[in-house]
Amino acid sequence: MTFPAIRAKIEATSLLESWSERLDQLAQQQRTAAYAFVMGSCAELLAAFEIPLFLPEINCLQTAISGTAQGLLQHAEEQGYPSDICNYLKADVGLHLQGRRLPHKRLPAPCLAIATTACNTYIKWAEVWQRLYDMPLFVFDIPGTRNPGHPSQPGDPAFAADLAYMIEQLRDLISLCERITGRRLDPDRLSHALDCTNRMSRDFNAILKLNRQEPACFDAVRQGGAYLGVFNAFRGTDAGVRYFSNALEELQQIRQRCLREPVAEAPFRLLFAGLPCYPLYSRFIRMFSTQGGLFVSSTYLQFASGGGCMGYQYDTKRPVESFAEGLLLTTREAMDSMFLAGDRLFEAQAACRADGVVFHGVKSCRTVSTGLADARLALQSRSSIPTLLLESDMMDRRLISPAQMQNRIDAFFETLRLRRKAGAP
Amino acid sequence: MTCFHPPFTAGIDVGSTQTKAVLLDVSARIAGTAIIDTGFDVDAAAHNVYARLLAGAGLCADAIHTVAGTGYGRFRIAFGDLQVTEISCHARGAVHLFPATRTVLDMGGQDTKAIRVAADGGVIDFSMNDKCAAGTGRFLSAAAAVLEMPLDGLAAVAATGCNPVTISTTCTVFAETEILAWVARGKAINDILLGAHQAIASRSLALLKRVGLQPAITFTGGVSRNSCMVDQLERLLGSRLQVGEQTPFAGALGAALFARDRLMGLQQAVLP
Ligand code: SF4
Repeated sequence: MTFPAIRAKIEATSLLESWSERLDQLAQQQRTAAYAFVMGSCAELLAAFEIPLFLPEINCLQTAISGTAQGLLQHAEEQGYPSDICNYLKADVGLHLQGRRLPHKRLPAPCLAIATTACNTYIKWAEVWQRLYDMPLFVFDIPGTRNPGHPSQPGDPAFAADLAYMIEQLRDLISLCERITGRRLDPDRLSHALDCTNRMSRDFNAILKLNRQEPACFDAVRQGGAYLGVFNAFRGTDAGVRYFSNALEELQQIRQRCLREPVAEAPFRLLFAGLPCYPLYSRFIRMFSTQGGLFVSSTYLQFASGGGCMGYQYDTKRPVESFAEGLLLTTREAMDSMFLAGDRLFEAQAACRADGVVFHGVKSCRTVSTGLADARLALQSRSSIPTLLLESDMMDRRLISPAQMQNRIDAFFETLRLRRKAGAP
Repeated sequence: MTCFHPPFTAGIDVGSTQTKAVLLDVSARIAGTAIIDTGFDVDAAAHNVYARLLAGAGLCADAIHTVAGTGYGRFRIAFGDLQVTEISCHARGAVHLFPATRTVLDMGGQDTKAIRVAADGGVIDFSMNDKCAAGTGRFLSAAAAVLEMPLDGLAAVAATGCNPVTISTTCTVFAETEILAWVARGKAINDILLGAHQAIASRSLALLKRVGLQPAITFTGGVSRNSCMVDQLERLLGSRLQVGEQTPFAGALGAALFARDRLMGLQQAVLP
């Protein structure tokens, strides 16, 4: 099951190209950027200070899709980086060791790095930049969910304490940005950036909800990846607002068309859990689509948007406090979607009316992959929905065996067809 | 030449080590089996095993209504009419041989699969270790090679062991070194081999647990011929395995059953 190349996918490509070009220009002008991660990027604060944002995870996945990652990984390994660490980190280190140059672009050096405790690797990774460039590193300690399944909410005393802690940390980061730029924070600019993210987040959330109904109108791994890229790189910007508003409108039109012209055979609705296989990105998705599979939802969109797709709305009248609250709630949401996947997948597969759940564990991201096999067992103990566990990597081709992957996928679809024939709901 | 027989169907399982074939008559009775080493030429292996199957049954190719291929080389069977994964085929074949089957352990030359099945032979869940050869027949081949013994003779020697060594590594490459180290330390060959069987059995148990251990458990694939492996698995499971002469052919049998569905005009539920 495939959809015609949709406009939002094409626009995402050109927006992300413009993002890369901007970074290239900065590098050429010897200017710097803030390095941050998708879970807790603080993009709106950086936009308010006009500090350019570089997201190394997005750059790394782009190198995997374009086929340049392997050389970067090898470069880092030759310098002694082991084979079993996060391959985003390793490819990025390889890139820095070769002078921040890729075949068609250069990247600016960091003036600041912002990490959160959402992933341990973030901190280790940022420490590598610190060693290389001797720039400031700010680590946000995000209070996690202490009662699994029951996170503290605004109004709870525990939440108030967590929020106060976040606000203190945010004030420290604001002071740091003021020192770096030599200017005070303009609350109006922060409010504007937060307002932009509010609108993007609301539309992103509405887009994801569209696929809960039948017929689904986009593939959550293929098109979802495009939405994700724009959300992360353009959050807090007018360009991001325009993009998501257009994308939502386009999908509503596609949905109307799908309703008017239903396909002869309904696709198998699949929920994707884990990280995509970027080195074989299109081929991986085709392995499913050619057999009638369609990813209607993906847990990747939750954690890789830093919880941004949940639709959280900042209060732009009190930008600093609300920014801290949003950072706490959305990053915690991203963490919970990974660490409490076992509890959440049951609801998620029911919400999107999935016919099957595909777990894709990647060797080099332990944060996401360690619990996937257990999450699968937890789901199976509550539901008879067919599941498939695949293992490969999001960067390193040496860890991917397409023939074995295809064999498992073939068997999974044989099961799905058997169930459909037997009248499974 | 024209054959005047009620139509038959055939299943061919092109595995990494051996290629197996099963012939079914219209009543789904096994009318013949054949097995050969796959070797490096997968196409030739499929042709040769099919020729041997037909010759054994005294049939010509015209008598075969449908040929289904399975195994990693299933798409290389030029004369195959349909292809089904070995996961679905082992499930179907195991339930056909032992209708009470709810879990299948298929141990082949290069991979081991645990499959949870429904009463109709449909796959509910599966788990496989196909990335590394630990816990597969390849582990035993490596042991046989390093001890310079015939593969077929391993089980009988291992069964006489009393004090099995612990093979701590699960990697086939390192297992060779470990086996040699035990030899150098003067350990008896039967105890070393028993240890190797136990190591594989315990890996398989972990795989079975991933799909849930629903009785009855049927052991299929080439290694199901190995009586010592059956004993070790039964010891770990604390229950009997369903195993028999035909279990090494379960994959090919399942393929032949899918071929028979086509002969009988049944919808190919697993196929697109
Ligand atoms: S370990 Fe996973 S979550 Fe952490 S940085 Fe690497 S890819 Fe991202």
